[in-house]
Amino acid sequence: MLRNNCISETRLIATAARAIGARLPPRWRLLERAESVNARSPRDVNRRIDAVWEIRAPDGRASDIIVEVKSKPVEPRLVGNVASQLKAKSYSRDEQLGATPAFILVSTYLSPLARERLVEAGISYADATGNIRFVVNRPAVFIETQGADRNPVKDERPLRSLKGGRAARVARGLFDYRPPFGIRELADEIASSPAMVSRVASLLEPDGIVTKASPRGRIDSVDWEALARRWASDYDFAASNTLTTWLEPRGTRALFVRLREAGLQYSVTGSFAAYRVAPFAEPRLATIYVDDPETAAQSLGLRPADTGGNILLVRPFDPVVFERTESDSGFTYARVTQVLLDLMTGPGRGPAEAEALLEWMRETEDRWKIPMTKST
Amino acid sequence: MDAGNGGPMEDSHDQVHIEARETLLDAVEALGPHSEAVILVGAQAIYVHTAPTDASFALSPFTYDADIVLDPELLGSSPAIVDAMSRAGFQLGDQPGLYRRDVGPQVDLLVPEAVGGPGRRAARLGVHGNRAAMKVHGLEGALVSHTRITIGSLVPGAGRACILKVARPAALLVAKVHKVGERLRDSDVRRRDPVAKDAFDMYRLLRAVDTPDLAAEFRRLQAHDVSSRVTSEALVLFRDLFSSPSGTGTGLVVEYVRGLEDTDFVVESSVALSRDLLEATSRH
Repeated sequence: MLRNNCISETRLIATAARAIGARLPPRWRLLERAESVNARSPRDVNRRIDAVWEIRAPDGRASDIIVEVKSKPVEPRLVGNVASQLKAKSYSRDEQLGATPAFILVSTYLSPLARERLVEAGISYADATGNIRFVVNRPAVFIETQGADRNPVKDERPLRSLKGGRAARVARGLFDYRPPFGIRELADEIASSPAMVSRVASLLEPDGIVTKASPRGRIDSVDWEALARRWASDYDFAASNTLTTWLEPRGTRALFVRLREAGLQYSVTGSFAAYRVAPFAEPRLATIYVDDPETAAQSLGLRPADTGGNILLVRPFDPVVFERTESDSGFTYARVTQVLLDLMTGPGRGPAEAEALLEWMRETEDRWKIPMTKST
Repeated sequence: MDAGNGGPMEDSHDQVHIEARETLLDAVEALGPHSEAVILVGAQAIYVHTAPTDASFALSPFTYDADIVLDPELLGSSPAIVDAMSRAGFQLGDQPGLYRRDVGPQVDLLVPEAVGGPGRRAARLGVHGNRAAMKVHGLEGALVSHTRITIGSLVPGAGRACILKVARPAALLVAKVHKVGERLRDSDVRRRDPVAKDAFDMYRLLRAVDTPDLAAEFRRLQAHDVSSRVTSEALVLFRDLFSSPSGTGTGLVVEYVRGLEDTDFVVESSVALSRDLLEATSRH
């Protein structure tokens, strides 16, 4: 662990030095000095300096730069600590060398706020995404470049579940599309990131739910039934979404007539959506995803209900419930894959309805699996 | 699905349903020259108004009897009603106004109490006698509020049809409230049995008809001499029976749908629609 850390820190420093070196005026040089400072007091971690650079102008003037490296992003609130550490280190060094060095913090990623704090503290910085601010007074040099404002490597930690909208969105993608497909190809289709698709795929690979041609290759197959069961263990229709119960005293039919004319963004899920393709018992409870249940209820003329409600308006865990919907007789239905999950994990006779729907899905895979539009 | 168009019931009539409509048409034909005095009330009239929404129910709402109001003012002198009915096979039983054939549903000829003359149960109809029709309290609204509708045979391919006055929803509701109220007061428990179905018929009307339309019609009934009293009485009774989940009327509706519909929903729905109507009728 320590060794890996050292390697990555060394690499971070070298990368930063190269990036800054490339932006210096002609004949300026940035050198990495092999200093004995590190070895001088090895037991005093606080005083250990990660690296020392030397900036040298064409006229021969030079200055030292004390380099502090953090292999993890530095939180803005910790910038103060870093600054005092650096100053303490330079103080002990100055005593020996009698010079005033500049400071730079090198990290994988520095947020806009962290950078702001560093500027305030008079510390230069360079991160792996290309955010660089390099200021030396003598010889005078100033370099500033813009990198990422969001941490691009945040998603690299392994995923532990399909909970959360972003993971569920990918699960829906894996469920909806007909493999094989590339990681990036799927990410583009479902407006997710390749990193997120990768993480979900990695979670599902050990169980054989997803299989890949090679570790970094395309997804060859998805066992969608196993995926549905796996997803259902992390998803709970009533808990993952926000449910509100309403009454339409004239019955669901009256609601549907108005729904068709209301101009709302919605998608019908639950019993009514399943009944459309796999009739089970006559549905009673209309379950409908809407952006904002209160507003929707108002425009549909529904009344709040504690008991006896016949309409569930559901604020979804993720807008994916409005994507890849299906139209029938003027109504918008959530995709059958979403309906299945909602029923599997839903209350009442939902699980039984899910069984009937699953049966239909097994027989009609060609009808609901979406082919990838692009071929790679 | 539930939200489909039209009335599926119109396409899939069971035999009982077809027979009931045939009996009604037979009775109207038998009354021939008196047809201007005929107003359809009761379950078959309710069905005319609720057919488009009845498909929402898991249970078939239809009953068999043909309930007909006769407006004495529009009744001619011949043919004699009892004879005309008899010629069509409808025989009077023990009670005035209730006719039966050997098979099939009953035909009730009824006269609103306010225009039925003196006496307790039999309507006094001059040349037609005291047995031709039964006097009923609460049907007065049918004389004031009705609409002409073509009522056709439900036998596949049959072209038989007649244009008939059909009592409008508020008049039907008023009549049903009175019927339910009376039955509940009846000491004869056997007569109380079928009353849950009447309560359910009322609920079907509330579900099918827009509240503002219903309320406007109620006001018309209240404004008319012949129906004003029964309508005001009906609203008081209606509030008693239907405006709360614990109301007797609400309980009857639930009793009728138990096992077939979601009773929690029916309670909430029935109370909500009843309160809407009461609120709308109290506004002027």
